[in-house]
Amino acid sequence: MNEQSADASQDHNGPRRLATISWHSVGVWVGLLLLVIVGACISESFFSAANLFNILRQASMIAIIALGMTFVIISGGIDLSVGSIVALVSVLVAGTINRYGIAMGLALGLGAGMAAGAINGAGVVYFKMPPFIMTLAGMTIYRGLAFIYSGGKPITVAERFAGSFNVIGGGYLGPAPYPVVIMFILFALGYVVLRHTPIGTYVFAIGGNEDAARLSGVNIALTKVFVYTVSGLCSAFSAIILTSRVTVGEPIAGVMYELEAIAAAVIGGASLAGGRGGVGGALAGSLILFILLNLFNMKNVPSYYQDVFKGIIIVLAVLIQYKRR
Amino acid sequence: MTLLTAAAVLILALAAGCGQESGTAGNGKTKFLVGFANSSLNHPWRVAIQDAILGEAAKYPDIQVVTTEAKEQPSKQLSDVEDLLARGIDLLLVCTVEGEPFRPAVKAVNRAGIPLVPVDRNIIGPDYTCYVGQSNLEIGRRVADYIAAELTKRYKEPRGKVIELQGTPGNVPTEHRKEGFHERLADKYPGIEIVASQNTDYTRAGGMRVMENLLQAHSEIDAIYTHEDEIALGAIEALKAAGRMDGSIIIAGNGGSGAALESIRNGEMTACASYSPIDAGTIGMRAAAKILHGEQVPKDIPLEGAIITKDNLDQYERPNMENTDYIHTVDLDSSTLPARGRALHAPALSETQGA
Repeated sequence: MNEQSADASQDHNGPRRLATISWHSVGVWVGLLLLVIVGACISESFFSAANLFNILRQASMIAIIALGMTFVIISGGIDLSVGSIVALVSVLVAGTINRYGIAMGLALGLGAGMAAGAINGAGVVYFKMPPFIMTLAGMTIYRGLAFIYSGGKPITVAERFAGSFNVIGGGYLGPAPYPVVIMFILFALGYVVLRHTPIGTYVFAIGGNEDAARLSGVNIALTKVFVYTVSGLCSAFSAIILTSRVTVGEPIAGVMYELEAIAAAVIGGASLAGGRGGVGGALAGSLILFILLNLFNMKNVPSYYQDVFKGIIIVLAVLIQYKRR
Repeated sequence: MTLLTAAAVLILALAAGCGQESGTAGNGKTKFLVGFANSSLNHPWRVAIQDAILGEAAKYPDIQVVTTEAKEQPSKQLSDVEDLLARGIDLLLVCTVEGEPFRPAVKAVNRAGIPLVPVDRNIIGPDYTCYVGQSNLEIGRRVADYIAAELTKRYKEPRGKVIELQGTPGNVPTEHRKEGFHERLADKYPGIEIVASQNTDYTRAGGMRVMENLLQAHSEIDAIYTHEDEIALGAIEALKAAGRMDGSIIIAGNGGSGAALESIRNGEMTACASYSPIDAGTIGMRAAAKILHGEQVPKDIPLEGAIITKDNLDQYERPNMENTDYIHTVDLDSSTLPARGRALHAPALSETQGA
């Protein structure tokens, strides 16, 4: 952890960054490659362009949340409310599109995600709530709000908007589905912000050693509100893609997404103690989880076994990283 | 500071507790208090059965209903029943989460000497007053028969490849819908092969996710059997996205929502095994009212289901039906308690007796 915070207070552009790419962040890509090879061997339909894009598209919804989650985890926090924010944004977007059109729906959705995240951040900063507790409260409150707003029932996007709205989740840019394109764009943005801006440095600094960061003049409050807002915003993007794919806003959407996103981020190398991690890892971690799901479905593995295997692989993936530190 | 927060919490709790009282407004004397322990409220079907119960109760000015929901947790349902008994309910309506863990609650209700009316999901054993519901095992068998009949039209004999998209694992309706289906295929139609049977979370997105993966692995699919309309609609989205929505795959939903009926009308969903939450809730509450007013009711009121297809759609579809509305065959305005639920359209296949 010291290596990251030391880095943070020095020059953070250029060659010094390359020197801090450690094995554990490369390790997850090796693991991913191995999994792809195993998949190609055990299933003949696995290694096709159609299936690989299928996996990427499914993974995109969790990967985008994992991106925001990585910011939060690196800062030393955790966000358990992301799945519930997905539900809330999902119903808000569907309901708003039906009344005010697609543009308004998207704007409101993204805004609501950011607001929910900012509230989480405010709770952590100004009420000094531990992130686990604040976002746990958020988890129940935001989903409750989703149920209240929708009356517990799915909100179908009206015929006249459904076609255009579905393009976000169902359209293609060449061979690549739009959700995959959106995912790569957001990841590129996230990478730049995390590695090449001052606030990105502060995120690492706070996670590495909050006292040292404060004494160095880092604005702790701003940075913490920032990471939770990013997490909320990412959840909103994911919700929009999800809702656009089924053209229905569901208050039960996103259940367990927080655990999948945390698993993805941790498999990718983010340390729950803070100060360590990267966006690339979050992407690789998400891909690993969804390749597993894809193989399980295609090989007709019963769901009880799926849960056991998934858990074992998560533990193995994290163990391998700890062994190498 | 802590005293203030404690006071604030107390006031909030009281306000929330007062706000929970759902059901009929009590103008005049409220003579009977009915408790409804729902299994959960996280699916429109569950919301619909609760609305139906409340709607029917509104016809009786001397009956007030209070509801709880257990988030599909058997332990929470036990606490819910204890809470309701403590409030002094005169009758308990319940959708059990699971039969076995509910036994202590049955004992408690019997000890309190109040009638027990299970709806949709029954308790284990005979210690109830009146049960209103449909057998999920029967639903599984009915769809198996339907798919077999359709495949026989196509291949001159009942054979083909079927994919099953289940609900949440461990959930009683899921287990029964699966069991009935598998059992019937194994008994009567060995030529039909279940090439994949995967769980979803009963949502449209979940159905879509699983179907997408299965489409990659299976190039030949004759039929898709789902445990819920939402799952079927999700599977349809996946088929559309993959360009495999060509009408050659029989798609079966479960329930009978407005969205499902519309899908059948558009030629996307092929069939829907009906199970109306409105029938179950309305008839259940009607039976409860009769019991409270001292009238005799049958021990069991079985609801009949049927296969809704494009051919009999008109008998089920109502004008201005919302996507989240459900079909119903019961007459909402009447007060007569039927001896059995009607299917409206007699099943075209072999008449099978109860579970």
